[in-house]
Amino acid sequence: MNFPILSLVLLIPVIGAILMLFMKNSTLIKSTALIFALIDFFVSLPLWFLFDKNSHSMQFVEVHPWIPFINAKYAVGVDGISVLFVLLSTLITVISVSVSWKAIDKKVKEFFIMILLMETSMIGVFVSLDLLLFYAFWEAMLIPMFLLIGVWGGPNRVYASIKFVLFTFAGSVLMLVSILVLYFAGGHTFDILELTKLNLPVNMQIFLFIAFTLAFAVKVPMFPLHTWLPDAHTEAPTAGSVILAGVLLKLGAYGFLRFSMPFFPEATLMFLSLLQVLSVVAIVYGAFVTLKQTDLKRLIAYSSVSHMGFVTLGLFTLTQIGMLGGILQMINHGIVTGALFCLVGMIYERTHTRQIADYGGLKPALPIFILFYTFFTLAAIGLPGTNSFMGEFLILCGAFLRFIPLGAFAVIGIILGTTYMIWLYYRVAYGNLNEKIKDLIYDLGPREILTLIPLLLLVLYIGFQPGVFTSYMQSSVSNLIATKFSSTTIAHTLPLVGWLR
Amino acid sequence: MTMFKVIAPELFLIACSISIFLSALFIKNRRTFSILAILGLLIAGVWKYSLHGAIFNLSFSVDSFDILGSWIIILIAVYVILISIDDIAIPNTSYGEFLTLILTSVVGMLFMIGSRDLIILYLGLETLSLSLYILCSFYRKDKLSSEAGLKYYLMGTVATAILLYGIALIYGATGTTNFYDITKSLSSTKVLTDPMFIAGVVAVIVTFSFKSSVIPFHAWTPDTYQGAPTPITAFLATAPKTALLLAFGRFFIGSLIPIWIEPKTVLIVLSIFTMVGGNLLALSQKNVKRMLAFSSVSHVGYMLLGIIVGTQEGLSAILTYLIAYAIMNLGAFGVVFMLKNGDDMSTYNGLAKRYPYLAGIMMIFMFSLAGIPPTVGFIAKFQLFLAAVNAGLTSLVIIAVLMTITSAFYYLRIVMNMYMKEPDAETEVISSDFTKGLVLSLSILVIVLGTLPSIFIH
Repeated sequence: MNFPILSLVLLIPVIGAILMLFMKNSTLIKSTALIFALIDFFVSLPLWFLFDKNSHSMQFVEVHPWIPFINAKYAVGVDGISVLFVLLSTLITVISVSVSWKAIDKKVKEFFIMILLMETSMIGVFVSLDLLLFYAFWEAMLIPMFLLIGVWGGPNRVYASIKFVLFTFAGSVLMLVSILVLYFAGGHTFDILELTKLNLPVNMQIFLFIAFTLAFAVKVPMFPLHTWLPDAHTEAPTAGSVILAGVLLKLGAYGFLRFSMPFFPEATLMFLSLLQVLSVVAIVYGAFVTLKQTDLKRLIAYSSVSHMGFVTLGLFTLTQIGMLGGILQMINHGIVTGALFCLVGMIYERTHTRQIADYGGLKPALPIFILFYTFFTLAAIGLPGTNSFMGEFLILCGAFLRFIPLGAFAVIGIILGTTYMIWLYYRVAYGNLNEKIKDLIYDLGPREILTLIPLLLLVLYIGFQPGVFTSYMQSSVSNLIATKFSSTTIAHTLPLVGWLR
Repeated sequence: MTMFKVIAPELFLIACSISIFLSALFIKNRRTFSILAILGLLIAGVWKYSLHGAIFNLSFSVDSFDILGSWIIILIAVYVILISIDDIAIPNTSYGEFLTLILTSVVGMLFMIGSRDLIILYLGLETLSLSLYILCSFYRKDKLSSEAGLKYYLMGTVATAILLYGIALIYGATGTTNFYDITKSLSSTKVLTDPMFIAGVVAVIVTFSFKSSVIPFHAWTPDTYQGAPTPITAFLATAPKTALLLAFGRFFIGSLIPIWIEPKTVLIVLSIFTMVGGNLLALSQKNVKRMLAFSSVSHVGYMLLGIIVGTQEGLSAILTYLIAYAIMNLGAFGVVFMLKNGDDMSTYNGLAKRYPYLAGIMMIFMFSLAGIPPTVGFIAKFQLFLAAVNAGLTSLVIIAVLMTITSAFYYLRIVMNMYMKEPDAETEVISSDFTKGLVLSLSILVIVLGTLPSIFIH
């Protein structure tokens, strides 16, 4: 397979963005953005069908010299984990273009250019097989996100965007130093696969692990580095929130899987308990703080802290089942929270208020909206048959296998999660229709319905057929555990996993 | 005659500058002069290519490093002349003098880069400085401009005096001013412990620090940058830095290697001061030119890392950095120059609304200066840090990295002002389309070299 499909996926949004530079008509700009996002999505689909699930090695690999002088290469490829995220990114981009169609009325051209550039840099992070290339994409992502929040965001946008940039920049620049150290330790190479094979001295591992993990922990975000997230989420335009929730937060967890764990296995084991505890704290603390929120977006933002706690808990159980759950939950969170942000954005477009107190009684007034809202609320709670159920279930299995109290605390998070979602639902959907918004609301239009339907289908598909998805990641995860953590980990395959296949 | 062959391009440039000066008395067309000066510069640059070798007892030589350095300087000069063709920059009456001085300063810098002897280094530095003193105060009637020139002059002459003193001390201790011979004489322990020699080296370091505004010798920088006409500030911020870092870097790295530990310690301390101080001082600036001045101070701090590394690798990392630094700084100053009241921070408020393309270009330069990929600024920093980590300077790199985060604050503030604030009514672009095109091409260069750095890294 010599067709450079990954390069194409990376390049299409850039071409779209360059073309848009020369356009003036805003409808034309929007259509171009949508067309290029769709093309990119369809070009990325073959990755799903042609991927060999039984192999843990990188596929669709392309390697070209980039900076020969320091042995940096343009090397891209996907394994069973990253392929899912590439697809998620292309899908989420289509959704974000669609959801911004009417919401963006100023600097339309710049906005859609930023969305497309964002797409390239996100996908770049997932497909890079060269550490320097990875870092370049990782940092490049800051620029469009900074502007998305800062230019098109809410009233407090400037503060939120600066906070976002400084938190993530501070985290990742320290990673740069570690990348340099790794480069020399690995014999002058940035090749991720080569570096995975290294056996670094433990002292060095500890130093590098801390630097890498800080960068990723900020992105996830893990407690106590999460404070940028509610601000960024709340102030970002809908598309920004969808991208943040859908893909950006996954990059940190992806970094743990791709770098922290395989590069520094001994250090990972040393810090494991701490990271597990922080994950559980994020789950419980995040859920408690969520309960108190009065702003729709802020509520969902804080719930993300809790949900991402589940993800990291799953990964740091270092059990096969927990890690599969963690990865699956990353995708689930992207879909469900992305959808919830879309819904909030849609209702905000109508009422221009995000205060929960201003809502109520939407159930009779907006039947279609409520249909979707009910569905995604149930998905967020983790009702069996929806995707989150499977993710949370696997994570809990992993947690209980590893250490029973971990699982017990995580369950508290689930109970709290149900509480805040149901309570929010109650306050939005039931009661009397608020006078303030009475004349403003109207039900979802065809574009909005079309935006949400793919997400709805995915929720059900993953909910009923999780095995299709886990089968992609399985061999990569087993390989990671087998090569790096074999002696210390519980590589349990429960009887239930038969269904997962 | 072979003796003069190696410095023929410099002699040619001197001839050019004199003839421009004289003919400016009779001819008044700016464009003709500019083209002549640019042609002269380019011819001298191409001429350099054919010359390799050393003359005057190995006191002046040309190798590929020097040629690359010379080209950086020549291209900077060409750029500065190009953006000054519009008469908003330089008063009509003295345009010929302006060109003459630019050419003379280029001659000085070319001599500095090629020098392998402290005396030639000194001569080059003086030629450069004398031209710059005048250039800085080119708006004779403007108070700030006169102050800029005067400050630079007073500080600069003290610095060169110290250099001369240092050269005398080094000569006293080693009996030579030639880099190679100094290295040779360092094999005797007598010289190594000679206080005279150490004092001499310290004097050289002090002069270097003064001239390239290393903290705590930077005091002239912000006022001079702010007061000088913007194209000249752009020139001042880029070209002399290239010459200084390459010439002195060659002296430090080339000659002092046998005793490298001590100068290295001094430079490490200076570099930390410069990185930290430059960035912290830049944070509080309200004037864009002053902010860029302090930011350029901090960039010298980063580049010092390359000298501290003390190898050819370090020097080539500096060269890469200088290229990147020149492109992004010339671009940023170009934008400042294009706007009416461009040095006022509030001018940038809401620029994106009024001039989206200009704001986009400025944003690219700001991100590049902050070292965020995919820009050339990132590549430059990366290569420099790579060399430093390789030399075991990891803790110094960590400081540099922390300061990079700090610098993001003030670069992003401009981006914020442009994109996230409401526009002021008065913001106005005053330059010609030609200048716009020039600055635009620099911004494209920032991205292209940032994504495909192998074009310029060999």
